[in-house]
Amino acid sequence: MPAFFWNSARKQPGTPVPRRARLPLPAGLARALLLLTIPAWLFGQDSSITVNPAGNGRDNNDRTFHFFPDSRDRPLADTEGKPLNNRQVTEDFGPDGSLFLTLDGEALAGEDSLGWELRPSPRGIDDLDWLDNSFPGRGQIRVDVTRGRIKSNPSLNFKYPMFSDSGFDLGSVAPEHPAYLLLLALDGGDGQNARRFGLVVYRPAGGSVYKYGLFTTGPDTPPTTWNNGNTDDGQSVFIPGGTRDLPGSEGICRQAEKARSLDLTRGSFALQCGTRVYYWELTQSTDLNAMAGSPTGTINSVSTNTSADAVQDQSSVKPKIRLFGMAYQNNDLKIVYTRDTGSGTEVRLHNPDTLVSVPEVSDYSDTYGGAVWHFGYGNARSPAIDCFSDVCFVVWSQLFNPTSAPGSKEFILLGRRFGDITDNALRRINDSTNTAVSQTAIVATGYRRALFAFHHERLYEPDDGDSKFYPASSMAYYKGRTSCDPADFTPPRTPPASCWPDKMDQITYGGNNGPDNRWLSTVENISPVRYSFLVPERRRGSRPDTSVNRVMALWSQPATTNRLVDTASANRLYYRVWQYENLSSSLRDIPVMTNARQLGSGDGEMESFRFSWTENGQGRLTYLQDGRPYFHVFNGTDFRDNQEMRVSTNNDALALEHTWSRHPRPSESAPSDGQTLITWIEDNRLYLRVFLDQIRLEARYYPQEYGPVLTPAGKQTPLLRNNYARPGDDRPVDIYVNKRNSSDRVTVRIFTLGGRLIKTIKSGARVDSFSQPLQWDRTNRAGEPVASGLYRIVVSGGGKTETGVAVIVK
Amino acid sequence: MMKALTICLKPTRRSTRCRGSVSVIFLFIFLAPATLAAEPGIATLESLTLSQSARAGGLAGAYGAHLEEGPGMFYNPAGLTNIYFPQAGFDYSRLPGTWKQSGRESGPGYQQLFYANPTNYGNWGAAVRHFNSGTFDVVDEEFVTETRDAADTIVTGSYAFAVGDLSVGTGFNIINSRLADYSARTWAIDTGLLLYLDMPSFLKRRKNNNVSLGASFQNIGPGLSYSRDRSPLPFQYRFSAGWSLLYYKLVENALYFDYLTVHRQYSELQAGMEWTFFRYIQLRGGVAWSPNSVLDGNKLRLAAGASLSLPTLGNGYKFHYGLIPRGGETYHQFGTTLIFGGQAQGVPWFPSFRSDGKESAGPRRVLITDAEKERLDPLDAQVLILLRQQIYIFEEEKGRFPGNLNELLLYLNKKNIYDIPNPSEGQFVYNNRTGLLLIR
Repeated sequence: MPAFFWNSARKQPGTPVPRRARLPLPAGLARALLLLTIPAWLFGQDSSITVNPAGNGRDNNDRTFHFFPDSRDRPLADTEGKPLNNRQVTEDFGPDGSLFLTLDGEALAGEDSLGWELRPSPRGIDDLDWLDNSFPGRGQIRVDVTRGRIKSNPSLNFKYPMFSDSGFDLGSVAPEHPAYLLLLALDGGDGQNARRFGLVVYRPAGGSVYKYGLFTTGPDTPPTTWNNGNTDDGQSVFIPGGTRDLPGSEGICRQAEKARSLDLTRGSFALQCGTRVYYWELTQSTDLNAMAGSPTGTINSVSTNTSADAVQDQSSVKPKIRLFGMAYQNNDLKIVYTRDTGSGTEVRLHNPDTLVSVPEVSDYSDTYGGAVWHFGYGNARSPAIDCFSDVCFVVWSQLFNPTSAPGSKEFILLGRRFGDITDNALRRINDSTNTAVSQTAIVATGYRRALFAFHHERLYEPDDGDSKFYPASSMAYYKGRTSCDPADFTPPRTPPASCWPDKMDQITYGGNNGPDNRWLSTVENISPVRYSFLVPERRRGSRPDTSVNRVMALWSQPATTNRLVDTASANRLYYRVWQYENLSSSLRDIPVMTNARQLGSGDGEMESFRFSWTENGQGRLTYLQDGRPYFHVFNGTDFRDNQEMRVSTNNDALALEHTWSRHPRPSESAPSDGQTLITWIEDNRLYLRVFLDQIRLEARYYPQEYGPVLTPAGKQTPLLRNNYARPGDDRPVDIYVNKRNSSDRVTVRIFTLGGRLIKTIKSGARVDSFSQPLQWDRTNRAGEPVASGLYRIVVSGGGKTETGVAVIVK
Repeated sequence: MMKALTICLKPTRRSTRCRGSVSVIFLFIFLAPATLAAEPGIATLESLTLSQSARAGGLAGAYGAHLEEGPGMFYNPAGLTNIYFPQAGFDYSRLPGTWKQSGRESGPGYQQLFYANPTNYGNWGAAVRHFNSGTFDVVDEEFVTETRDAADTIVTGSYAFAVGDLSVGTGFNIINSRLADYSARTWAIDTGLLLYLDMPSFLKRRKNNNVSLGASFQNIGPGLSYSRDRSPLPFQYRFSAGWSLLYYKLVENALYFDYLTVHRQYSELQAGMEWTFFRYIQLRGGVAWSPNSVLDGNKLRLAAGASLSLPTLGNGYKFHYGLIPRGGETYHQFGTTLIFGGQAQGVPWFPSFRSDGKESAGPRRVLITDAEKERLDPLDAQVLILLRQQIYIFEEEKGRFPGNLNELLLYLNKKNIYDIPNPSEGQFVYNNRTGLLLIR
């Protein structure tokens, strides 16, 4: 790296930014993700790099950063206008945290060579101040800008405390027992006051019962005030009120489950301890101390000490009740679990508030306190539940002939508010007689669609005559009508019945040979595979159309001759992805993903898979391998190289958890787009790290001779943003005008599709390239809201004209 | 009631006042809701107001008084009374203004199919229009870009009849609109009047100058709601005038003016001129002016077009082309019309007067009106005047209108007024509603 590059931009942390370089920055911004995007383009070709400081490089604190180019990544172009497709562009942080770029090993420096133009974030450069204000003394971002260009070296000092590396002491976590981390990630109702809550449940060494505690992050508890409660070093989270005993949790508790309400105001966790299931419900509150300090009375036991339970107590070997799923139907908690009856296992739904009568299965039902009912009977296993809006789906499988002719039947139960379940609500979707035994059922619902998946161990008879099983999967799905109003799916509104299936025969099942029935692989023998189907998280009403569009299978396998994936490596994580394309009714393989891929480089067995999809199509994966916590970012449809992040360097982690959250609607002053909270326990300490989703640096690159004025309307930096106003959406249309000569005058006008002038936003005005985008409030000249339809937005100036289209639906 | 209405609609002298009253009632019936629908504010479904014909496009939209082809029903449904032969056609057009989405050019356009048919009980027309708004990129808060499109499909049924020199028409539209991920349906009513007048004497430069005056009120309906809110339709009223300046065997010329207002949001004055050479070639041009500037910032827009007629195999074929330059770009519109058994020569001004059967391969059509009889060839004029007179005599003698052609011809034969060798062969087709006599 040439030395000149390192000289100018490198400044010590805390060095004040020169006044002339500072921008008028508002204060009091919420912490979260900062998006900065740097596109470079030439002759209409946009280029950008995306910088994701999660690894790949180290700063002066020996923290590691990575750059994760996302789908917007485009090659740069040189000063001759030639694309740099075949030239190596490298981004990295310098020792002091400065960002630097190299082209074929030579640093890019200043406008004389490449003309970097900093354009940080669609929300404006003002947002940069958020880092400084939110993390005083810890993070600093410094930008020297002269008329939109970095004055000297294109350096961006970035010192953001990605993680709080110091944990706090849990006390004594018995290493032989797992500690459960339950990150509920309850967000506040708006982007300004969002907070995240987490729960930790653990059993201290020598203790007889588990303890639980609450920790939180949020604007009310900025890092500088985290030195409170039980924290020990001022850098970690705190637990107001300390930890409390979890009543009834004698022995070993298992199967931590959690659920969040769709509107992110409630969350629950549950543990199966001994013969009982306990759940604890948390409601988001603005009074943190009051909420966390008085959790009494909120511990509930699903099963009561009834005579039925007494019968179950006859079995002292296996638990009577196993919890398998929790979900919120709007704000009503639903818990689905199995219960041993002595002669089999039945599936039961705990519905705390409403007594539900299901005619079809009434013969089997008995109720406890009017709140519990069961619908599967005999060898039922692996139920799952998921709800979206006012509809819940419950799926499970039931074994039959478990010894002589193994097989299973798979069921789906549809419940609308669980008060009007009809005879058609229950459907057996598969009958895998003598062929397969269902292991796990997965259900995910989203906007007008639901996806069901079942794992099998499918019978296979190789030439040697020995019957074996191999893993397989089958899926069923429902896709609703397209004419429903997405806003109806956001509480408190409820969609009309026509937007959900009224009968279960409207559920489509792929069948054994159908296009939606996918085998993980055709293997020669049993592979003791640990695998899991993963489905996207639900979304709020803003962009629900891609809510359930991907399914991911993850598994690890040891080194055996009979393996799922033909590889010599052992004990590694493999994955495969299916996804809906264009909301079509069929599942398709992603072309590049026809074969399973390998993740990780270790050889140990992988545990504690946790996966979540973010709203921008990325995934988050955490797992433990040999006691080491790992974190991956799954980008679009594929993991990429060097995206593995070692969360910790130690080897004694007991638990690992992450959750991804975002603000429902980021505001101008709260650029938070989302963040991933990673917690783990090691060495008897609880650790928390905040992983910021991508920090994008946008720069515009162009040769000096390239003409003035406007941003080409391209993929990476479009002319418009928020140009699709759905019903109830009141956000203005953002119009980005980036003139390049100070003398250019820009006119921005709105026309109907037929060319009638609606409004003039700017007329011959000098628009600052780096100010906030121009906005159209969707009114005409008289200030009246315009009607539904398409509208042209025409930006002209400097001899160029760009046209975009805004669509408004009411 | 029905009897009174039947008598009223009969083209007799006694019912003239009655017909006038009916026309006024129709006018009020359709004007009243149209006025109520004209709320201030921006209307949706702009596709209902955009150019719907290649021929109209070449006249800059000044098509409200020029209505002897099927697409005229989109400008004034009363013009269907000028359809004398069954006809079908197709139009395809791009509309001005394109944009780039995902690096490719896109923009609005439309296609339409129409059919029109004259009957003894008035003329009707039907059409399917598909307005494609093109594809466009939508960018969300996170700059995630996706592609959407929009389109409107409009099914139209129209009906028109003549009451003397006044034509009255109405149309009913069923509209399905798709806008990105949403769709909606609604309906709309069009109505119109068209009046043929002799030119005032002080304006007459030649004997057979003629004028047509039209008024249409369109897109009267309940509005459209994609989800929650209902947006009004673009109620539009249009006043039109046409003037035949020249009428010779080889050269014809007509001038058209339209004034329209769309939902009180904007108005436009349109003017077009059409030349017909040798009856088979047409050239036209138009200009429109609006106080509201349009897409390219100009208040004035120009248009031009041409048509070619091919009389073959007893049918007529017309090919239309429209040229619309705007904002440095040029947009092309294409259309074709097939006239079953009709003349394809030129685009005549009031084809009912084109009764020169010696040059026409197809059947001729004549209109029995006093105002137009002077323009008929001498022989046809004599026949028609005679026929009309005899119809009146028939009515006076028998107290009723002749029930059918054969009855009339037998009557004429009996009176030795007009010698029809074999009336049963049906060489004449008489429309007792429109007063038209088709001579085959």
